[in-house]
Amino acid sequence: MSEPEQERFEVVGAIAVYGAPDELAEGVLKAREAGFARLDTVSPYPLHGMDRLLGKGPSRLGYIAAAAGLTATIVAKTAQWWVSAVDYPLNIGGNPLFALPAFVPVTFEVMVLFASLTTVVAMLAVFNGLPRYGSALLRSSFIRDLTCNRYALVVDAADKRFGVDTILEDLSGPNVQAVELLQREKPSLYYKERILSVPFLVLIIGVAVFSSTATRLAFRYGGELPLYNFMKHQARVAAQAPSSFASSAGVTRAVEGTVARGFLPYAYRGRPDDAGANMVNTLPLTAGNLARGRDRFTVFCQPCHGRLADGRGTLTAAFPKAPTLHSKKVREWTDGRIYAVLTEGQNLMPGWEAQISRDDRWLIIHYLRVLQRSQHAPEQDLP
Amino acid sequence: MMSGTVSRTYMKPFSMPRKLELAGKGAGAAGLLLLAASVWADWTRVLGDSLVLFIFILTLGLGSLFLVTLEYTVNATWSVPFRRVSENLAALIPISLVLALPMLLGVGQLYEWMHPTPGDAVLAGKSGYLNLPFFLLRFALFFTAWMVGYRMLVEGSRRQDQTDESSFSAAASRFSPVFMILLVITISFAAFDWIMSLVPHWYSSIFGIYLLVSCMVAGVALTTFVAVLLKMKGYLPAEISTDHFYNLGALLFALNTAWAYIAFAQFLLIWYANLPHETVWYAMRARNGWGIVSWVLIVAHFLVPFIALLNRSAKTNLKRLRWVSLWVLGAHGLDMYWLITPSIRTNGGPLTWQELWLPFAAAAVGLATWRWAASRAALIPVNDPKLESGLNFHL
Repeated sequence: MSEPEQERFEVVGAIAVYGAPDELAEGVLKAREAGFARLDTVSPYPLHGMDRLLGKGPSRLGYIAAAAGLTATIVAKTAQWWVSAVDYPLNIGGNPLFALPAFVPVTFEVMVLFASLTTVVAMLAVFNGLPRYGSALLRSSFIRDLTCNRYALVVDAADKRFGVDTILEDLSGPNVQAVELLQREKPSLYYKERILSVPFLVLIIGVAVFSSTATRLAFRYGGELPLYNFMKHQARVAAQAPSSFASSAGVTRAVEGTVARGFLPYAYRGRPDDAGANMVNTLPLTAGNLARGRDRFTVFCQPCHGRLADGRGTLTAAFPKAPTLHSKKVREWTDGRIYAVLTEGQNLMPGWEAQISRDDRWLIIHYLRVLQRSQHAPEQDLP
Repeated sequence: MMSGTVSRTYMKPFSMPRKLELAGKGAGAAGLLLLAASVWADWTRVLGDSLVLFIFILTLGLGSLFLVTLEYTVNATWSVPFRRVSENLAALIPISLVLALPMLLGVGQLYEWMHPTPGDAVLAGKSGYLNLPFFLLRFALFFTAWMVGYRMLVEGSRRQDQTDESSFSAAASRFSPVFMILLVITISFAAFDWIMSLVPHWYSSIFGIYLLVSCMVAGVALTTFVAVLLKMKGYLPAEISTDHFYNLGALLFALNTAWAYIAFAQFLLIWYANLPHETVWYAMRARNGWGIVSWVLIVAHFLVPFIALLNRSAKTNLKRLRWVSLWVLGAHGLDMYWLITPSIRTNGGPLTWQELWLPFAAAAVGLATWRWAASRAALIPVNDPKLESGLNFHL
């Protein structure tokens, strides 16, 4: 070993090579009796019982896997709760938004994925010494034999009993076929010359550039690979196009005389005063009905007429100002008269017959009466 | 092979310690007394409960036999020293033939498809399968198949103790994979016949697998419990180490989790689709006090064993294994009760003193079967060619 070589390398351990597993096991026991504690073995295949012989406790990887699994469980559950119940609630088949049973499969998959990936990365990073991409054993002249038909005892240089000058003699014995020091490049040199070396960095950057460019070009020229047969691409008949089906139109017309639920024909078209005289609000004044009326009022009326129906709506800028509904005229109108306006429209307001069902229109009127009474309370209302 | 160690206890048939024998007789007497009181109070309730006892004992036997076929199929060595324990416990299968009597005699009371409402199209459509002659024929077929497997594997293994014929092991290795397929099919259909058809309008295609996994959990739990007790009392060879028990514990842990997986898979699909003709089965298990039983089942059959066995060291701790395996057996009993009883009745409370005879009867039947089976051969398969390597197993 030349002088500069010695400066480049440091001793990290030593190996003793055996020809049979039983001899290795004896060697392990002898080494432990001699006071060595940081021991390991190398064999072409797993040797059952060797962990116990080496005095090794259970691997700590299990705790890393458990912590990762627990973290992923909490993250997955929280994410699903946030997406499905808070940020974008979707009613799926009437199930609760925070559907615990439905979240279990995804939680389980995320937990398994995260735990296994973390375990592999932790094994490489914590226990195998990333970013160093090789073990000192690979530099040993016996590595070929150790993956084929030889067995080795490894002593870590951090062992208290380890002495660079004495270790080879300590490890020798009748069954030992060879002993050797394990060396590796000193960390300072290693990281400077291997990790930060130009060829290595060029390789990493080259791989990154090549794979992203290839992906980009594949998408650009390879065409779109649809994951699903999206609805917009599916075969269909346009609404107005002729069709060979039934009435020969893309959208079949309703049968003559069909009435949609809740949208009964209106008998006093163009005769609002007759409607006012003859139509009566028969829906009962219940808390549920008032809540529904308020809900519909908020959706359809409030934008122009305002929250209190006082004409101070939220759409004010370029929109014509809607009148207050607390005027004496409106207050003295019968429910039927208001119903006529709601149904057919008045002045700039369109008729709401197509948008608001018959019952909902009556309920809006109930709620409007509540609003009117709140602003013009009669004397007997006062305590 | 082991001729120098004939004096060891595991080379001889098991003789029941006096205390255990007394305990068995006591449990039997208590069970009979409580049974008589329950019959006097409400005999129809006892009919449903005796179906639970039959299924419980049968699943223990089938699970044990499954473990034996598993060993031959995958050519396992670590389990060879435990195999005689499983073989002895498989004797619960012939015993359960006796316990099936109430089901066969009370088939008219238990099963709605025996007397369908006129005009019931669903039951009319199923009448080609759900009718008494075919039901009895299938019952006979299932038990014939199981008894063939029992005679081949268990009796054959006992014969090997005397004759030292290694050809038996080879024959069993060829027989077991085929028999395992047969076991899967027969257990699935037994689940459909005896349990699922209690609510004949309801169906779940995973139901057979549910009972199959339950059988395996029950078999491994019982084998583990008995093996741990035998080991602690010194009936098993010293070579059997915590490494062997680690495997039993790992198997128990894995199968128990598999049970939870299957049980949840069935629940999730039905819960999500939310169709009345499917949810009715779970509705029976959520109302009239059964909701608590369902929650107890989740905690007792999944959470507690899962946490208790998760750690590696837990699976090598004999004391831990002893209580967890007994706990899983209890949870399995509750599972079978939960699976069957709400389909029969939902009134009168889920559990009352009238069910007290069940654990006593199960314990008495188990001890009597063990006494009968274990007294016929050594406690380990002494002439099995894989015994040596099985005893020398290390993790």
